[in-house]
Amino acid sequence: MSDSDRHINFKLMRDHLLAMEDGKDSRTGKQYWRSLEELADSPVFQEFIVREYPQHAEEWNDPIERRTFIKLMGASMALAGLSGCVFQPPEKIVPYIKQPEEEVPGKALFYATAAPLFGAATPVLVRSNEGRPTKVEGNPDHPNNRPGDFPVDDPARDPRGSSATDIFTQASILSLYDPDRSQTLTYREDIRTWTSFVGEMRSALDEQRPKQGAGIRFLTENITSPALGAQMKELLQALPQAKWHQYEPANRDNARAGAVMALGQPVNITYRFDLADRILSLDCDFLSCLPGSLRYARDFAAKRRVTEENKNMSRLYVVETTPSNTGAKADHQWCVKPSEFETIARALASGAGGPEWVQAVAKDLNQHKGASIVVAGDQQPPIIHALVHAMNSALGNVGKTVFYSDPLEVNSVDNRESFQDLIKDIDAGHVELLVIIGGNPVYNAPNDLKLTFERLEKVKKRVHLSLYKDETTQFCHWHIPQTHYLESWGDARSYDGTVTILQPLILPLYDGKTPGEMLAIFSAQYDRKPLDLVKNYWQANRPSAGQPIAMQQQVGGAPQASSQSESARPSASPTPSPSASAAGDFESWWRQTIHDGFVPNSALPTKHIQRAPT
Amino acid sequence: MPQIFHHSTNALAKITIYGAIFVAAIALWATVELNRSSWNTGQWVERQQPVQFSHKHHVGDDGIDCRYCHTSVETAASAGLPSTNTCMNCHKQIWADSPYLEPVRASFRTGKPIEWIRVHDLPDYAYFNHSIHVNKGVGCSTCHGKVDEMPIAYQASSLQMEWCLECHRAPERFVRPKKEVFNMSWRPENKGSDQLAEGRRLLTENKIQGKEILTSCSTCHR
Repeated sequence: MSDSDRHINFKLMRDHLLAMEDGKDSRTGKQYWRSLEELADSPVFQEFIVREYPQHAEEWNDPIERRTFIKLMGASMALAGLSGCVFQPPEKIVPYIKQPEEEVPGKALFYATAAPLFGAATPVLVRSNEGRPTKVEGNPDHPNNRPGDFPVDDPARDPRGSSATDIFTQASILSLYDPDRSQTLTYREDIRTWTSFVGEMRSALDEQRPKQGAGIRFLTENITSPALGAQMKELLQALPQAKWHQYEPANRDNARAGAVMALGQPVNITYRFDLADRILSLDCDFLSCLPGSLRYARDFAAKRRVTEENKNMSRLYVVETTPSNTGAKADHQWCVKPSEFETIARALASGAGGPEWVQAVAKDLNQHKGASIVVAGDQQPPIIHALVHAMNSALGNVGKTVFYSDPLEVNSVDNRESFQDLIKDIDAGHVELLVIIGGNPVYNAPNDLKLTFERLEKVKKRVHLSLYKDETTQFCHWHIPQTHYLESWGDARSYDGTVTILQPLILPLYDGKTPGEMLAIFSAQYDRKPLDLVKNYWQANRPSAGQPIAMQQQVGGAPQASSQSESARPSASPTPSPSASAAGDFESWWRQTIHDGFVPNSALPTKHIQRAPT
Repeated sequence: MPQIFHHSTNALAKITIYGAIFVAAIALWATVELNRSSWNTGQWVERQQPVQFSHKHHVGDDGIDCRYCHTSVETAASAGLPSTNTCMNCHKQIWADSPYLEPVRASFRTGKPIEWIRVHDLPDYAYFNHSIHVNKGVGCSTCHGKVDEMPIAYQASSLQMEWCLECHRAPERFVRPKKEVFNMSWRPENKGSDQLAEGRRLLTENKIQGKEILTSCSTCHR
């Protein structure tokens, strides 16, 4: 019986009990009872007794009995088998009108592109059957997967390279065909055309132009695409008062803040786990949760495999607050309370204090200077990251197993700070047009910076470009469906900065728009096509053969004097240079680059950074 | 005690027993014959197509190679049907006004593909690949018959499993030199007794798998 019933019966029960005490009860003999409800003998309890199965009793009186049901189903099953005996209807063969080049019905074609996830991209080779992308696998020709570094007797060794991908990349094909994707462009939930949207944005822009765009704010996720970044910068030059904010809920602010604390500038860190004899992970799940963890897992496994050439396997220490994949692979793993983590990290850095094992680890690391790696997890506070930078520096790992380069992001910012600035401007009423490109900030903004409806009401025009109609869409006037990465032209950087030009495998299913097309509206040439946006950028910024591109990185307050570019990653094996043709022949370079799935020599150059005095 | 049945009923019993066996045998024979008949297999049945296309005219009279239209026969599982564009390569110029070709022109005009009726329909549980057969020296006419004499295309073989196995068990009886694969008039019978010797030589030359592989279930039922 439910609690509410008991509550209702309480009065009845009390009356009954009092009556018994007063001896007014008419019943004779000993009275036994098993529950207060029975004692009170309430009508609800009587009904409960009558209906042994009160919830499902009516089902027993259903006209379709269980036996009838089974009889009918049995007959249906038997008859279903008979349908296999009939003649098949004549089949039709429907050929093409004009057969596409290289298309052979029944044979799959493969295209190289990259799957972006949280900024960093995974280079992939996508299978296409009759013009439909069907399967995503890693691109074995990509330098990130290059074979030179894998041992010769590696059983998983491919003559080209590794074609591994992670679960997110594998699953990304499903989001292309997701029926829940946003399918129409809407204004206040009414379907509108793209041209009417462009018209409204252009008139809003005309209003803003005298104010140099002071009322315009762009909110994007962290942008690593060079072409999109260049477009944004061009836009901000034309509208100097407009502002660009970047926010992602699962950002790497702590790692960034740690790098600024220790090195004076934000950096992108890459590791060579195949060269490290001792690895210490401070709550970092580098085997599954870092950009580049596919490569790291490969490198780590290579060093762990004992062969003729590799007699000594590496040793992995993991100190973590939550059990992780990396912890499961560790030789020595310690679970530490989050509250004690900093003390332990400091003890490890100084080699003094803390539990007994701390000294042992510190001593072991010290015996492998230049051949060890210390990594910190993104969820750890900046001080841990700063300590790790100090440890790597003290152990002489920097430049040997740990490499610094400029950040992958075109403009690396502290996400929270950037978002906070936007909220301040909205509250102050400075924002008239808010363009949200990707993401769902209404849903995932931190609680003290919530984008509530009241707050957003202060912004006259709100625009949202995304794959799904979500919480942010509900609070925006305009919603523009975004293209999936398998439908878009674009570019993206992988964990070491190598650029892949994204090529579409299919026309946009729902007339989606790329972020580039969205930004183009606010520039002088508002109707540029996504292909032109990317191609024009690379025509102007193509890296010349053998010389890495110095991207126009805007490193906030970076001491440029102390950073010095090196010619290439020291480990970079010579990639076959498809751009060996004449420098002027952009078209063949472009075709080759798209075919191979990477821009040769585009990995971010290694930087030597002096540790800022702390 | 008198017998229940008269002596003559013995004959009746005998007739019944023999008859039952005979009836069962006839029923079995009829089933097998029906199963192999063109009523079941579709063999010899001419299929009417949306366009009155004649292989006899195009192959027999004009001498167009099979691969001009069935482009993927050497590279893919399916031989492939020509796109409307392929038809129009010639029929822009010749028979450009023929009413017979109106469906082709309509398809070219409207962008709506021609829906051909499938003539050879293998069950979905049988895996068949044209390219491997063609590249190992199994000629078109071995399975498709004399296509150059078919005004309307029909299925020349039963396409039953026993028919497949006829060759898979003894490929030397049917294989031909690779250069004769698209020759419509090549016949193993024409070679007479030489065919077996020639066929065995071709088995090694074309690297045709042994019978264990060719007759293994999973070769075709994957």
